[in-house]
Amino acid sequence: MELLDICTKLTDRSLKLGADVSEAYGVDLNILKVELEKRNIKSVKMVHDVGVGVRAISKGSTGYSYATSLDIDIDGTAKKAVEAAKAGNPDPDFKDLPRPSSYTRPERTYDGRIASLTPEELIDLCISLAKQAELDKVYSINITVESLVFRRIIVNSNGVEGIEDGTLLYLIAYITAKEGVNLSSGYEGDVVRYLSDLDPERIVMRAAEEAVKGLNAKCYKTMKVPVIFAEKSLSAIIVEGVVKALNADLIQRGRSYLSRRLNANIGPDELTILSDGLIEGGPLTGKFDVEGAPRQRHVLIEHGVVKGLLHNSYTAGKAGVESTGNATRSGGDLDFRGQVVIAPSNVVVEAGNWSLQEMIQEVDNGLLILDTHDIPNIATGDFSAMVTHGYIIEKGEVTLPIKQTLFAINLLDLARKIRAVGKERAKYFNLYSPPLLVLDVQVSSKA
Amino acid sequence: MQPLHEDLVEIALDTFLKLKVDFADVRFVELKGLRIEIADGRVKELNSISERGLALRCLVSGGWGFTSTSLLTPSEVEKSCLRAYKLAKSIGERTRERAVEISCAPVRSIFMINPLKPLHDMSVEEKLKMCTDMEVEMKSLSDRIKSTNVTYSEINEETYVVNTLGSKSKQSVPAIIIAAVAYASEAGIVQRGRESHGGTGGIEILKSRNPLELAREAAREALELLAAKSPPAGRYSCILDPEIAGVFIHEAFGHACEADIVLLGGSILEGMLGRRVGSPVVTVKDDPSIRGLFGYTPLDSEGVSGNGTTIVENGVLKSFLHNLETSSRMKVKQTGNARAQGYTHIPLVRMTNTFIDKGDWNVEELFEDLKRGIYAKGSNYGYVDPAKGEFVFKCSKLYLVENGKPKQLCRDAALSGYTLDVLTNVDAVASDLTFKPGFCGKEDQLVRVTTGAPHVKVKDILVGGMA
Repeated sequence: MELLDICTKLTDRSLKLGADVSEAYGVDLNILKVELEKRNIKSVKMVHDVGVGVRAISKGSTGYSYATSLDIDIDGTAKKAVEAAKAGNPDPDFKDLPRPSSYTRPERTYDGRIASLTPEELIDLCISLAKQAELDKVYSINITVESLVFRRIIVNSNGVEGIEDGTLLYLIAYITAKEGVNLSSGYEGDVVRYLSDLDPERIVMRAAEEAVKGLNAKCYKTMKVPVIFAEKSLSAIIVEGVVKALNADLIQRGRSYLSRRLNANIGPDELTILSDGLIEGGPLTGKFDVEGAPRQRHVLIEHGVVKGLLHNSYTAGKAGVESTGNATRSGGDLDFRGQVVIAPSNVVVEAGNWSLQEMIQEVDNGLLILDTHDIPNIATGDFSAMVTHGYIIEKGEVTLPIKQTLFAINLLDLARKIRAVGKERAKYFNLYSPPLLVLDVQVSSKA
Repeated sequence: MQPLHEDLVEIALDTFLKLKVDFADVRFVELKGLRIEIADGRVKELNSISERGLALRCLVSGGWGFTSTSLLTPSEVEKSCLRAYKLAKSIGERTRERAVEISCAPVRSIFMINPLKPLHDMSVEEKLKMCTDMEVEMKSLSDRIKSTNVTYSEINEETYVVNTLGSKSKQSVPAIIIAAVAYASEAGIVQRGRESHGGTGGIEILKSRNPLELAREAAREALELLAAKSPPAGRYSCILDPEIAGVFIHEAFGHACEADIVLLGGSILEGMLGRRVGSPVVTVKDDPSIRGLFGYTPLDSEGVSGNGTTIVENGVLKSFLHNLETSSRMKVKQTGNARAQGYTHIPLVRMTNTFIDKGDWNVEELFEDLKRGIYAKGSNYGYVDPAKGEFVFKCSKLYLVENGKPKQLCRDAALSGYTLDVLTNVDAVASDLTFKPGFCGKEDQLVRVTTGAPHVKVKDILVGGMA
């Protein structure tokens, strides 16, 4: 049976078994993954993961079940969801699942070239990239390339029906450098929808160069200094810290530091942030979210003022507004197993007027922070983190890389202390952002 | 387990044997479970979990090919085996791989955990009521508890693993984990408290820690944090409580001991076997065989049973953690640490129940010995760059200690350092070894684990704070 038929039958069956409304989300996913470890191809993995997640709703109470494969027990799977819905307590805040609407056809989300990539082509790509990364002092080269070709289907009992095909290509490079007993590492990665949008050499060379430079890293001081946040560190601050705090579910429950700050001014006029589910070739670009609501371009912070929240159908119904098309599953848009949650699509920070060079020249004594693996506390807005890649700025010039250095700032303070917004935007996974210069960030280190 | 799946597993094994692979294994996985999430008195999720599939892996001239399928028919299984074989072969044809010969004695084991009270002995309605009661308990503590969340997860994982060396092993492991989260709010400040409990076995797990007491604990933490200040930045002597010391040993040290990371040149511990890596008071173990703990793994995803590995003994590095490939490459015994999430993933070297073994101090003596410093409690998360050995971990609460007494409470602190510096700077280990359940992520896979430790005292830890 085709996946669309399965979804339709599951939805119909759930209604017949007593659900008020129901939905089926099906995913057919082909993964091809090649891993190069310490210069050698280690493994090639090919996975075909197909399945359907069913939601049945009775008096506002939601029951889930899911099944893998195309040969599923329709009755049994629908019954489990309906029984679970009936076991839960009524929820008057649930209003409805999305109604049919027209979808904007996004650009550059399916690339036949990615869909036809062979294991041999990916192996050759990894081998050639590894050769290029053989810089002096590079000790170990690890590269992962993964292509995903998928079809996702949404059907609900309100008449929503959506089918979308897509491709994704991930490249991750983790490279270590060694000098005596001193080890250092460099990490870079990206995901694209079109093969031609990937610059693999740049990614791998940057990881190799960061690893080698890191061998000369030194500790910093414990003091408040201006900091330029760039590259991956902005993903932690903007995506994980600011945009996730605008999740309507967290806001409605008072669990976010941005609760009660809708329409409040929290940052400078230059700060504008959007969730854009339609950006050309964006990793999370699509026609619809996992509930079938249209993906859209949605302003979250405009000229420093909080203007919008991220909604799914539940929070939108509770607030009496339309869904913003930000429903996803707990494991992402290709996860039919997980529960429906809210997340940003592609995050875009509007460009400002400062070049990175002008920002650096503005700093007499401070840091350029490229990466941290930490995430902020969304309840408090506090962000205490390790600098995993960063550089010292002295007298307007970038000097040595740093090690053993932490920074801490509350994100509301950070927004208020933005001195400059850059004009050159970089893409890092689903974030498109210029660098930010922030004053008075508490830094602590061993020196 | 249904005979059909055993037949399919045998078909897959025969197909690999006919293809004359260097090594192959076939893993059938069936997961059944339930997940409940209640938020602010309403059911947010009631999810019935059910999936099954086959993981097929073979080694040809040093290259691994892996496929998985949930289409459980003989012809689909044969096709998947052939695909895995072609993938492995394509590596050998395109690169000069270093060949590895997988060696292990054939194992025939069955571990079917029979819980005192099977998971289905408690109805869904009773489980829902328990979650709801936990929420009510949190809210009853104070009207400053503004929002609550309770999750209950149960999963029964059945696996059947065979390989071309003659191993056949079956196991069935049920597990439960519950968690309560409370959000307290006052004067515009929001704070969060979280507490969890879990283990392998049946409903009896819920008797070993009263869920209502667990919920009260979460609420008390959120309320207590409302009065907390920002921590001071700088370097301090520190007492770590069992939870954060357990996360430290898992994140900062355990990952660097995983032999696959060592072999790919990404660990500070490469070449360190037999050498001193910590203070003589530090002994670290990983033991998959501890019954009842959340990381209990009687047979790993390659069918190997581990009886416990002493990783560090009195400060000296004694062993890494292994799967079949790494133990074959390093020519040592397997340790039972190959683990995969579900059937769509390749087994990686993973920890199970990892802990700092108990020492001979009592906790009061540790505090008497710390005139000025910090006491770090609870863990939000942690991570390490195993190549640099640089780690960070977040404690949920931090107390400034003066004259051996915890005084001012602080929040949202990051602790950082170099793993080997910290292990060397451990100067006292208490005897109150305590375990905590959790999940560990590596690459894109999540598995259940336990972290454990007694209270430990460490010199010179870097605290990142706003003050």
